[in-house]
Amino acid sequence: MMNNETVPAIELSDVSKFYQQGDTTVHAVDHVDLTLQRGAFATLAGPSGSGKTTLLNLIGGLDQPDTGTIRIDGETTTGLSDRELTRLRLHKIGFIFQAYNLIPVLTALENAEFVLLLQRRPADERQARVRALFAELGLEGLEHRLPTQLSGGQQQRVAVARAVAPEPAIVLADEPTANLDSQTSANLLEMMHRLNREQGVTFLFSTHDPAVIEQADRVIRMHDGRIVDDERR
Amino acid sequence: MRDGRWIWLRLAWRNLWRQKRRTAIQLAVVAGSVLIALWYNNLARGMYAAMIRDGVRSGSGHIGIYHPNYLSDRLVRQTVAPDGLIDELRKLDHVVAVMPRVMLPGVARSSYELLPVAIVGADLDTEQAINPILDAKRLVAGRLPSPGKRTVQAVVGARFAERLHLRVGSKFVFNAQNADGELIATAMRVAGIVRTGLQEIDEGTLLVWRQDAAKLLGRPGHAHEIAVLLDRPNSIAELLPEVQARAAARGAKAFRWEEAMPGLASGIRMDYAFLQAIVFVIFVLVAIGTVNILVMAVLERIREFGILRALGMERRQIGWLVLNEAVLVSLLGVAIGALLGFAATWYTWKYGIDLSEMMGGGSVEMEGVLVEPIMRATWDWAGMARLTGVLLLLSIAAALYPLRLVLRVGPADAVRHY
Ligand SMILES: Nc1ncnc2c1ncn2[C@@H]1O[C@H](COP(=O)(O)OP(=O)(O)OP(=O)(O)O)[C@@H](O)[C@H]1O
Ligand SMILES: [Mg+2]
Repeated sequence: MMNNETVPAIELSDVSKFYQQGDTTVHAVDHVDLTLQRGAFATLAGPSGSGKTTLLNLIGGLDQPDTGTIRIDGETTTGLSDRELTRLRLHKIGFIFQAYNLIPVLTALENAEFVLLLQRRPADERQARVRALFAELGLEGLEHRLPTQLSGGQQQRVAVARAVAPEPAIVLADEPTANLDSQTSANLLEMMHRLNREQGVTFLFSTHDPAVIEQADRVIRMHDGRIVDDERR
Repeated sequence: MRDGRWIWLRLAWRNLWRQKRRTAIQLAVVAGSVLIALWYNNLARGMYAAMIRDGVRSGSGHIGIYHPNYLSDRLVRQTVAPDGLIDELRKLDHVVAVMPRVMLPGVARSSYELLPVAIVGADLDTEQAINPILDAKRLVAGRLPSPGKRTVQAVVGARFAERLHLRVGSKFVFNAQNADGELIATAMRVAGIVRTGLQEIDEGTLLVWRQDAAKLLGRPGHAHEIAVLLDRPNSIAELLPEVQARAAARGAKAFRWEEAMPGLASGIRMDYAFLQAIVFVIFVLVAIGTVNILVMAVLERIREFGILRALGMERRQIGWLVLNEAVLVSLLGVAIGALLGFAATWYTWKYGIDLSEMMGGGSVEMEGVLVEPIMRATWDWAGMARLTGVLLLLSIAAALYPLRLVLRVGPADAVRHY
């Protein structure tokens, strides 16, 4: 927490991921260099198959790259053991998936504090943190509902609360609005952006949606596994 | 989840009720098999106890005293001279009754037919209260004879009476070889007739007073068998050395009932082995079913486990979660089954199951022993503990294969589509 002004949230250098498909090799991610500072609100844009998901999975430690190195909050993730990588995800990365994010048997509140629980944070701290986020995200009154009793937009907001609650170095989201209607996805994006501005949460999310791209402070465009444009606004 | 301590157990508990029907089936299968195993075990144990109880009364006693070679040779001259032994034994702790008997095989003959029979000479007054063969309800005609009559009086079997056309008061002739190898022939009179349902008794046994039989044998006061009945089977070990020493002093030998009646003992052993085999097969089927159910449950949740891995849960934590679920179902199922097993055992222990309708009335013959046709369970605590323990272990072992599947789930499975 002391040198986070200088250390970037993520640093990729020469990162590639190849898939063998029959005789051809798919360059899903092709020698990518990328640096994202803390406090960024960036989107990965690009046509289908351009490598957005693959790149996010590499950054999130869900997959290992074939070339290059990845640093999260100054820590190199390449070559880490499964256990070390799990610890890194637990403490430094927040995930928001496209859908079915939540654990079905836990209530909204329990889902939101789940990562804090895995981190063994004390109960009062968990409560305070999650209650505040629920207020921020307009989830008050839904604390004790199960995921099946929540709308898609509400579920994604709970997922945002869960990802943001432990104050990770970065929150990764692969098409978080893909299953939502345009109004709901605009709402979600607005809330994410507010968390970014007010609490300094770093976000990197992928999307196809021009309205969502519009919201981002930085737009990284991909094509055929390469970064073809990097626009800061 | 205000408190993180029991999180695995609580997660596991809630996961169980996600698929209510499946969990209910699993519980029913485990509980049902435990119920069957416990009840079956306790009923069988109760039946064995009844067979032993009645077997030792009509047979060797808990401990039987014989000429050292009598059990293998069955020669009429292999007798024991009790010389006060009977009174000594009666004074020992745990001894309920001492029943000396004389056995004399021979041939019985009337003007109609000739049948091989064996005389059993016994203290009929003592035996009347103990030996199920002499139970008053089996005495269908006449009464027990009086000792020392000039013409020996006998209680005969009903089949024997029919075949020789005898009634109470009729006479017939008994031929045999006595202990000195001399041929004897004597007239006997029917005092009473018994019907037991046992061929060996109803057709082939003549019950007379011991002193009458010993006189025919040519060895007054001697006996072939001294059946020592104890208060309970567990007293055998305690008393055997004492009885053995006293028997040896007279050149005789004491045997446990299992040695004296090997047919009964091995019959019970085989029946119990059969029971255990059946229960084992049931348990294995339950374990296979459990593996199937768990594998299904786990495969459905690969994505969910992937998300948990992505969020930062370790492999072993997820494995632990699934193990908790499996153990919870097993424990719950076993507990329900044990309760039902207790209830069923209690009912059949208290009231028994009356099989006399099914068996056409009267007694049931098992391994050559007359048994009352009421099945009563007994509380075999050790057996119950063993059976529930084995099932618990088996159902936990059944979780191991699904557990391996769970341990293979990686965080990338969160984003893979199925
Ligand atoms: N597991 C895999 N095995 C083989 N090829 C793969 C695999 N994952 C991705 N690819 C290929 O890598 C390329 C990049 O895929 P990726 O899913 O990263 O694209 P994307 O930008 O996320 O697309 P979309 O917008 O449709 O989600 C595609 O050509 C895809 O077919
Ligand atoms: Mg994608």
